[in-house]
Amino acid sequence: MSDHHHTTDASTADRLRDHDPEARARALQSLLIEKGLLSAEAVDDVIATYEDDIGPLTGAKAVARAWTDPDYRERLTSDGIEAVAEVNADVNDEVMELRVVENTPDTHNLVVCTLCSCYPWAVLGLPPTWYKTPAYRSRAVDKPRALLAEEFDTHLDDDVEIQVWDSNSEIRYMVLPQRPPGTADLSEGELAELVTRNSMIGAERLV
Amino acid sequence: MDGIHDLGGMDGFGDLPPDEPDDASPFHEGWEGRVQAAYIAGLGNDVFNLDQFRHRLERHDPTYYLGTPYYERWLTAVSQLFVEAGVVDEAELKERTAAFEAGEAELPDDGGPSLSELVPGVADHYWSARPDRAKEPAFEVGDRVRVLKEHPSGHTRCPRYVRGAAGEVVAHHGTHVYPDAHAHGKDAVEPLYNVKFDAADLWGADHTDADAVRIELWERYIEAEDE
Repeated sequence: MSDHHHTTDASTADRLRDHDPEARARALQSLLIEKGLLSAEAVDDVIATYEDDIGPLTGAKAVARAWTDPDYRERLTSDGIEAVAEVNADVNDEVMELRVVENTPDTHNLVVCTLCSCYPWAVLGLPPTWYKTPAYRSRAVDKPRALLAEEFDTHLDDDVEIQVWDSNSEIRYMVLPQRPPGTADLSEGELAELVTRNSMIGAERLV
Repeated sequence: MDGIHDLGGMDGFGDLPPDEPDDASPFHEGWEGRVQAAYIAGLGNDVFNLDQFRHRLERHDPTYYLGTPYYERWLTAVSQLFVEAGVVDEAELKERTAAFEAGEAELPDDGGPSLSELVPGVADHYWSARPDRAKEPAFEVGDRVRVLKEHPSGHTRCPRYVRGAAGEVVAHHGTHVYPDAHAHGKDAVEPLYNVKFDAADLWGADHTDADAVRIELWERYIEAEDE
């Protein structure tokens, strides 16, 4: 270990930032492995987990069950993460506090993190690229209607109130979209296929 | 700090990038997953906390912050945090980077903890509620509060656009880690509330098409509206 201290942005680490990120990432990984803080297996597992295991499908299953089971809906909107763990046993219900906010015919909810990229990753996976951009983060809190119309072709009627959740703490938000009409005969599994990632952020409506 | 990261309400950033399919990989380049793993190693081994990580990103100069892809900024911040914690030697990191650039280094395949060994430490960092240290809340649901007009130079989770504005407490979430202290290695907790603002009170009725904005505010950010 080094006893060097670097506390300002003028440190050499900043000059490192001009190097090839692939080489920088490999160099950091190899030092962390050598120091016993990480393993090659853990790196592979992190990548596989976010590519294959954690994604919007978990949220979609929770939404579909909430549409078909009023008791579950109650649990989902009161203790979000525990209810989500019911539909996917791989979800760690001690990893985040989740609040699920319901869209209604006259209220639409939209989630953003203006300060960084806070997102209910345990339920929806890592955020899509657009969610992390200054373009989204800047505009979602003041001009959400225009943003949704122009960028997502989501047109809210004037009498639908839009409520924006700026997710700035470890309490994370997910939107429970409205169930689309004409879906009474669909199974829970078929309903889950209708639920998009963007509808659970509030960028789209399913009705 | 009043940094470039505090983007709420700013104009001129243009269009969003094209959307990606719901099942797309969150990593655009192979190395981005390595950065995510290094971040998990930092939290999982308790080298840094979430607020220190956020504050590190915030202190990147605005040009770099806006001009650099997300995971490249993360790589810079995570590298800085490991160096600043004295866990990774800066000179060694530079040498190793140069070796990989020259094709003269290989990744070791043995080593430390598995992902499942890291996860409990990561989960601890994301769990900010501290019911065992509960503080009596000064406000209750229904109270009108005003956000203090303060501009601290350190880390804060109180964005500029709510400062000075009045809203209504709509939820009390109990006592949570206080980020403004935590980012600077200090241990403090505060009651946490969800506060609802009329969008017109934040932006002016002619300059917003939102109805309400809701955000979490720690007790030290707010006072009673009529004070």
